[in-house]
Amino acid sequence: MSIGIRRSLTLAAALALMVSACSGSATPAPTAVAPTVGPSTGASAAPTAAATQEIKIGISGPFTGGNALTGTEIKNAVTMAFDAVNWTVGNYHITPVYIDDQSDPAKGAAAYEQAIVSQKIIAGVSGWHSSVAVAQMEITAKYKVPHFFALGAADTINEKWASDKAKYGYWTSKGWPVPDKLVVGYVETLNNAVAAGDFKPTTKNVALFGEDTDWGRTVVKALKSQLAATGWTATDEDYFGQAQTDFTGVIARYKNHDVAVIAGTTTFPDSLSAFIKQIDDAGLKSVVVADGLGWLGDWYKLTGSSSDYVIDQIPGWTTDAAKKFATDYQAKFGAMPSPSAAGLSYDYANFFIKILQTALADSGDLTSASIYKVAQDKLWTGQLKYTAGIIMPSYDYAADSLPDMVVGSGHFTFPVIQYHGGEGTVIWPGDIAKGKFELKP
Amino acid sequence: MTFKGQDITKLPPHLISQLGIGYVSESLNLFPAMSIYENLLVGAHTVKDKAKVKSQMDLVFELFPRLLERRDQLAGTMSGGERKMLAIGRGMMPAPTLMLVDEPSLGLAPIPTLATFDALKQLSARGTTILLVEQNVNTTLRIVDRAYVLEQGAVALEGTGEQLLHDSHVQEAYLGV
Amino acid sequence: MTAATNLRQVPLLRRYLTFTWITLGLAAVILVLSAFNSPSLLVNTLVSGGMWAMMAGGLALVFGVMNIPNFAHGELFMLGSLTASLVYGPIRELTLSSKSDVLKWLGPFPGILVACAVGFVAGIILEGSVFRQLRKRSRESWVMNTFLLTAGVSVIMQNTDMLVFGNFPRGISRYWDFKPINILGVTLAVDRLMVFVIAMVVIAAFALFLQKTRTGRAMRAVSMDETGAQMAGISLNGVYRLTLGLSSALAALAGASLLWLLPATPTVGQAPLLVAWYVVILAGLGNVQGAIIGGFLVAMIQQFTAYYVSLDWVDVVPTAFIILVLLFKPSGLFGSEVKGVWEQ
Repeated sequence: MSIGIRRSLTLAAALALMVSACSGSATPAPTAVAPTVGPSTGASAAPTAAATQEIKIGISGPFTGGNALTGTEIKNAVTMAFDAVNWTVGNYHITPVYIDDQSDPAKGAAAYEQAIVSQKIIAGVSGWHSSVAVAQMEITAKYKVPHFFALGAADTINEKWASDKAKYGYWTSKGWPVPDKLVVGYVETLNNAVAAGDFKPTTKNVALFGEDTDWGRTVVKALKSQLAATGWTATDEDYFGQAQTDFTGVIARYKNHDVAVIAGTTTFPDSLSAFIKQIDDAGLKSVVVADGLGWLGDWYKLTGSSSDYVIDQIPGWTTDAAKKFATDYQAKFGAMPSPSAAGLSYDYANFFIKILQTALADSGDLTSASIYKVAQDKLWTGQLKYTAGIIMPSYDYAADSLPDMVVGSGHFTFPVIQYHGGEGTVIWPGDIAKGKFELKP
Repeated sequence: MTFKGQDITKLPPHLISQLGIGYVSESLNLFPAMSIYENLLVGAHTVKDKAKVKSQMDLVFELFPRLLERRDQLAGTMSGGERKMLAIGRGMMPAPTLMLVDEPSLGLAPIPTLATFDALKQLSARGTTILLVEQNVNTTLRIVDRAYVLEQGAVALEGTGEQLLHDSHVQEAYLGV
Repeated sequence: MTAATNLRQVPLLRRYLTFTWITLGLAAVILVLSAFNSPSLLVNTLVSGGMWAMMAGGLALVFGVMNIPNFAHGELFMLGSLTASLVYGPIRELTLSSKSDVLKWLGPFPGILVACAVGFVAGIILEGSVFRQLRKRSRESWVMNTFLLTAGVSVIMQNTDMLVFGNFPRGISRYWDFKPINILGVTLAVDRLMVFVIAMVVIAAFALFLQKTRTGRAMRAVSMDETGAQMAGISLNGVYRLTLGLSSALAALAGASLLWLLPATPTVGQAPLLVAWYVVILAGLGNVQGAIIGGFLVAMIQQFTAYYVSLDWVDVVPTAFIILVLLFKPSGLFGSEVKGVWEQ
């Protein structure tokens, strides 16, 4: 009995505390009990209770489902960036609202809408899938809530953006350029290797593969046209869902077509690692371009030595700040982060914080409108750029690049790497290359 | 309800059968996708002694030579009379002390009916007590040792088969004499 | 029974010229012919078929014996995959450092066997805590109720896994890290070959068990006629317990032996479950024998689609094939009026 009484007393005390905490913040907005509450809300709110205002920011990504790992990296990286500023911008305290798209466009759009309507987020940041981005663009346009730096890259996003800039401008910026601007690296790598005599293919046949999404199809389309322009023929073109792990039938066909290159992408690590293992098992000597293998921090556990000689485009942890981030991340979350998911998201979160600070300085308050104004006046014009990042030298946008950033040396660029024992060696572009293209023996 | 001094009212069906009460239901409940041989083997599920299973099966085949001929045929593909034989044979497999048989003549032509009753008679001659529920009064009363007539849930008459066969009430109500 | 179902009375030619046999015969001919073109088609069909047969066999068993459409079957696959990854993790470190080839060959088995045992126990717990309780209360709308229950169990198991072990995929690169083996000019990873061997051994043992043992017969008897089985002194609860245990052990075994292909995540069982349902619907609900053959048939369709058409169609073609089969034979390829988990 006494235990029961004591427990109910504790409960009552806790309830009382909660009630007083709620009234203390003195915001008229209904404080719906969100399943996701930011760290140390009470602690940071206490000292400056009178002056602090609350805002909510949406953080979007595939936090559960087939891409949960990437989503978790995004979430962790964004959290680390906001932790560094104690979740405050000026006198505003920021509460994150996690928008989980579960790798599904419909769910992503619904979750975003819910975040705006019931959680009252005033802006959003981050994201992973292209198809989710296309769906969420409608929501940000409908409620005029600006969203920044989602990593969805497919050109369907650009097409939509260009179709009605006034409307879809609320999807202010992409964090990843259209594949056309990046696959150039692969094509040049292959052609350079042929020219240098490092790669002497018996055929000019290429097998292309991609996940069956906007992203996968855009990458394959870009690869196909750029390879065709330099004399290659795409003999095979396959798209598959996220659950696909049996590629033996396809690989048998590749063997029959005697393909010299197998190139493509998927954001689903299980699929891609299974594919790479099965290509190796079948004894194919083709050059394998697996765009996105390194997006997952711990991919080598899944592929083992099968990934040797595979080509990918992944930025590295090159600077000291980047290496420190990777170490800190690993210490905090117990897993190796990947530069392209965690690294880019971390940079973009910091850039986003910079945008919030600019909006506050310019307009004196933080609202959807004041934040969107910064995007229009300063981000899109190239006035506001972020050069303190750990992955890219500079993140900047220009009128002719929108909604993509400026891609190229000194701005946003992905080096081409080749894997050996789970480590990537940069083999393109020439000015930063650390090694040479090697053929599978 | 007790059997050999044990209360069996609340026992689950499989334990009742393990006590030595066999039951051949009206709908037979055979295993249609199993052969005759397998149906009999399942009938002997509770018998651990392999020699005993063998001797019981020989007994069944002796009583119903037809089953031996069709040993490997699926139960689901047999005629009505054969199915009835198999059901009785399966009931015999654990060598029960008491066997309850529910309307064995149901749906059978006269000749298979007679064959079935003949087999039951032989079985009882070998020492198995058989409790038969039947509406085919004429044939039944000719083979049974003791008979009870149930009318509206109560025993109306009882006696040996011969006695009841000649009872005027039975003749009037059931035999249409 | 009508005369037509009496096999003895059907002429030999007509008996074998049924839709089912024509389909299977055609499939076999196509498979053999194509093997001349690309032997890998035959080899891959056999290898993937073994996995699907193992998954679908367990699913069919539970439906056949207990009339339960088990939508938690995928989570038992997940349980196997998780257990194997937890047990194999530390063992891998040991075998990798050792020089002994024998150890490297044997290394994966403890994980697989423990997974199998865990699956068996999980099945028994599932039967005792869920289905038995439902049976005690009501057997009305049994199929619908158990479907809902298993769907619920699936959600609970997925989320518990996520809560306890996280969303992190626990994968391995390989179980048997040896040079691929060459069969019929097809290079085959040892992992793939071993899964095939495991599947074949287990399926054969399972078939023998169902056909030849007293308990296996009891299981089939229950699937055909519960009352009849009780009359023969068979304990229904015992058979149910064993059925769910065995079926779960099969699913867990499949999950464990495929760890190198499908890393353990909370949702890893969803895709195999889907294929298993393809197979079971194609073969006819509740027919284990049919499910095993159907597993190979579906694997063949998938391989051929991937080879001759495109990977995009891998899910579409089997579905279309199932629709076609159901049009001609609504009870499935091996479905019949005679209900049973294993027909002679």
